[in-house]
Amino acid sequence: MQSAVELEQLRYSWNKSDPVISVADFSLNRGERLLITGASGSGKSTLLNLLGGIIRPDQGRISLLGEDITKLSPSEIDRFRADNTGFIFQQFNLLPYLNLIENVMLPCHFSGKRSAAASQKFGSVEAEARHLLERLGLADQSLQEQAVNELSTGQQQRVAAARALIGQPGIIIADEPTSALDGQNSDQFMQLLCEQCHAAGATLILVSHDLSLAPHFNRVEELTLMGRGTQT
Amino acid sequence: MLTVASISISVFLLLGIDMLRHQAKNSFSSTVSGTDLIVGARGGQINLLLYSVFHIGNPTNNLSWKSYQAISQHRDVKWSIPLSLGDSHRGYRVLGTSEAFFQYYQYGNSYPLEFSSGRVFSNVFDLVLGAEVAQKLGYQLGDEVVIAHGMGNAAIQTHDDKPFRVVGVLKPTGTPVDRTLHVSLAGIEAIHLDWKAGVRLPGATLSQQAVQEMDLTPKQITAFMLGLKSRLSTFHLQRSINRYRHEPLTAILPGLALQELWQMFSFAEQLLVVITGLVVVSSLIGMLTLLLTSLNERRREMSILRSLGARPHQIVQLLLFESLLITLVSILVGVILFYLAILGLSPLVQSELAITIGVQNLTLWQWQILGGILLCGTLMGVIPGYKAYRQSLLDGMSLRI
Repeated sequence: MQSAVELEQLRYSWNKSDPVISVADFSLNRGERLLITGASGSGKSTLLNLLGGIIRPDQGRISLLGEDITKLSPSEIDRFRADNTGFIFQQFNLLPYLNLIENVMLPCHFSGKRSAAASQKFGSVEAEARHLLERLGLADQSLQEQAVNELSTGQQQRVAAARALIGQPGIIIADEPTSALDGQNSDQFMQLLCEQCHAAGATLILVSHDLSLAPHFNRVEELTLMGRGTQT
Repeated sequence: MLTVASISISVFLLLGIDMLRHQAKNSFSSTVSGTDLIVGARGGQINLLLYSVFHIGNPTNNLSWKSYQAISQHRDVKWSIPLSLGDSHRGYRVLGTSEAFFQYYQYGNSYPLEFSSGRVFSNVFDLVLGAEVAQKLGYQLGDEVVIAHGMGNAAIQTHDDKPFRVVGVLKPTGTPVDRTLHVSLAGIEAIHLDWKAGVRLPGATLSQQAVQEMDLTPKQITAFMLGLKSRLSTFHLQRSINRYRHEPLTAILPGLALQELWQMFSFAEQLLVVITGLVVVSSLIGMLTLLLTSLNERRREMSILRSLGARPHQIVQLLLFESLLITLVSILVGVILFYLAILGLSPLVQSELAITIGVQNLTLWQWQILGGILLCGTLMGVIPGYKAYRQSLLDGMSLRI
């Protein structure tokens, strides 16, 4: 099976002396679900920024879906990210002036590849948006016409998940997506997210300090303080 | 939105001032047409033009009837209109002239004067009213009007012993003619027979009938207009009048004198344009400030869009589009305001300034101004756009702001 993520001799530090991230060798297969845990300051967010191509490593190689992103130019990274990665954030980050469907469809405005994938599989981008919202329990018509910030937190995070999943990106990166949700909502959300990742064949990389999410994943890695890093 | 209001008001000002400038010029230029020379006592040519045609200011001196007779019988002269000023009626000027005035005076695109009612004066105490005088003061044919000596409303001494009778009312022309009362030269002479040096001679009161039997040939007039048989002789005649041996005279070409007048005004005019230009600039800067302040609040929105795959240049485009939209809406509002103002204010402007404003399409120049504003306004989006671009490169998707 082709790997979704490969890291080699990866090092990153905010200042020269002590590296925050240091990964000797790591790989993740497509379709796997990885939970990264660690205390705050252990470099979880830094790792996600590296995976998202926001920051570049001091040394080493990051390969996503077979593409070495450390060799891409900034605009190529932007394009790669738009085409192949869906993000879910702690704070949902929905745009308040767009409605539910429009929020979900947004990534397809920026990525021809995802737009084409949605059209191919569902007929149109909007059709996939509706399909995803339905699968995530937001099928109600009246709900779909509501302003997004009138929704409950659990509902908002599910909209954010649909937005990350639209156009079937290869990798879903989620940063503490459940920390704003209560226990029951959080569990339900994880279940729906994992189902949809599985259905789309997407690789899920989720960062959380909450170890109770572990049962939803087939791999769990812990980042230790000051980044001794993950070893496989 | 306040920005839209401020930009549209500046657009409105710019268009309005440009419009007024042109209309004022047009209005002035259209007052005299077909007149080749204007002759008055020696003096500045602008002064002569202003007092003879526009009835602004006072004549420096009069010229003698003999000189007028001599020059108007010159072989190149086709027609002449004598003008005698100095009296008024309730703030409106009284012009003593001859029948030639109604026959030869032309305004605008060579329009002759027309009567809305009545006829040309024939009797000594007949009076022809300009359209505005008749309308504002409510005079009709047959009404008696007393003329005051001197200018202005406050003229105390009146020629109340010799009232005039309205025999004609002219159609509106949009020129000073509308605000003038026209009488014959004989009429002017008649009311001044028993006066000397601007005061009535005590005891020397002549009755209206007695006056009519006397010789009413004027001894002097204020100025006169000339129409020539051939335009080619204009300069020649002008030179010879300026060197007229019996009396110091000045002959002017109305067109050239107007040119000189514009040159006098051009500085003030340019200043006005510069000021409005600055108003536009300041409102555009206002928009820039607004965009920049809102940028901080929208930093989050920008990074959300970035995380969803928007490339930096798309964010710049977004801001450019936004400033384009704001400017476009403002210009539209400004133009609408402008036309509303024309519709609402043109009667007022017409009566106060005698400047006719018509609703018309924007001129090429005005379109160019609007295009310029639109361009500048849109370019204003580049600055916050660039800033957002830098920010989004730095922030990336670290959304924990």
